[in-house]
Amino acid sequence: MEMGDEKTESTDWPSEIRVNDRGRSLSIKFEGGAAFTLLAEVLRFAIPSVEPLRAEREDMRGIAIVGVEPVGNYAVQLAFNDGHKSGIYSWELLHDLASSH
Amino acid sequence: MLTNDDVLMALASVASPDGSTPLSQSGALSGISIKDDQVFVAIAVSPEEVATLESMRMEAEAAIRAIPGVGSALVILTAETDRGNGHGHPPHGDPKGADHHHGAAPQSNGIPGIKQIIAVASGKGGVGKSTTACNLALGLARLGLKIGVLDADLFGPSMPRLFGLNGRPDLSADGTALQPLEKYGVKVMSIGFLAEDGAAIVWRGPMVMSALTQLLREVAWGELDVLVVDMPPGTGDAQLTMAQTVPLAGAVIVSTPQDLALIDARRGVAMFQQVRVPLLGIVENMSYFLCPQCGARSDIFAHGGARKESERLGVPFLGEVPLDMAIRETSDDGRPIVVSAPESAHAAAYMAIAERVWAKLQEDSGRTRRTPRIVVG
Repeated sequence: MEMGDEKTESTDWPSEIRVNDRGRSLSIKFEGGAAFTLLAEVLRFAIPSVEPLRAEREDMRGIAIVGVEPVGNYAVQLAFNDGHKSGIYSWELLHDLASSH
Repeated sequence: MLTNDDVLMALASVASPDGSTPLSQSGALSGISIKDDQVFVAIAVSPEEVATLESMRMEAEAAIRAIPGVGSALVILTAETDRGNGHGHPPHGDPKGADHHHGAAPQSNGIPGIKQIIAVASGKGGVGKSTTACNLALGLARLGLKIGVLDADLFGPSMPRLFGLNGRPDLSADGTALQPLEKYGVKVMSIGFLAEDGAAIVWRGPMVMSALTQLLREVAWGELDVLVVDMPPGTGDAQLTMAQTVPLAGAVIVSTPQDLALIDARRGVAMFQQVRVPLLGIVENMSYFLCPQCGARSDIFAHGGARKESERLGVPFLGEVPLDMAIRETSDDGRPIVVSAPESAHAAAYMAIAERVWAKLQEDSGRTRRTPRIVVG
């Protein structure tokens, strides 16, 4: 069995999540000092959701984040202006997205 | 004697979410529960409406409170969440779509005044989870800590019986929160204080979440070092909801030593790991039987199974509690063994568990992960 407890290093733990520019991007500061900004398009494209929606919209222009809600201690749920709001973004996912963009 | 009809009559003067139909006829009323002079009403609304319907909720509470003979009234809004199905999909060519504002500025989901919240859970019912939660809470209180107990087992609340409490919670001075009851120096809140004794409240899935949220957040807990949450047994929706809506500092899993119970305990461990709640450890309950006549010890349920399992899972083992008449009797009488026989071997078993839990919480608090600050700028 996977041990989830210590999987996230404290350097990967966000200290601040900021919505910029009327939802066009999201900045994440990690406790280790790293900081990243992810565009709403990137987050929307990577939406970790059971809804079948990855491929349904090729054009991500104008997409914006309209809501951020904490989920327990391990993730945030982001709501987008196209109505999708079920994606739960774990700290790992945010970190992975940040490292690959 | 108050009846449902009295409540319905009072609610006829309150407009329902659609603005015109009286609330009593709107079909939005999803539950009325009356206990002596206390009234508990649930109104089903859509998630988008929750923020705007607070005034209706207060109006309904005021209307019920005005009924002669009503001591206190609690009205909650219950919202169905539409997670997981493709609602809100905008028409093509309209990327802006409907504006799905998630209410006002997002806030931290901690509870003011409560330093740490821990869950006591089990993979299945009947393993003594609530008895353990109760005695663990009292053990923590004996260590000099300020402790509260939230009975989150909405389907089978047992804290009223375990603590021997059957009073009714009053409203706080400002009228916005319920006062928890208090016994043996521990604050206790349970849906059992609000509902008819033995009268099962039938909870629909989405109501569970909002009822739990209110029991947690609309209670005047005051300053607490630790709030012990007695979780409903199992690893279903209510448990996940708790784990996701409350910043839990840790979870204690209670299991009996048999293989079957341990399989379920493993499920509990996996669930908390999945939502990143640290496992404080596993308690083996009904670990062995001490014969009250001859003092001989029998390992009825293959004693030691939980210890082996926690080693296997890499989770701390917190201790074992024997199967004993004294624990059962004191629990049924509302005189938990930690306070009714504080010098007994059984109380010592719980005290040792409480000390380990507290040590683990302090050890963790240095590196406790806080929910990040969320800023909309």
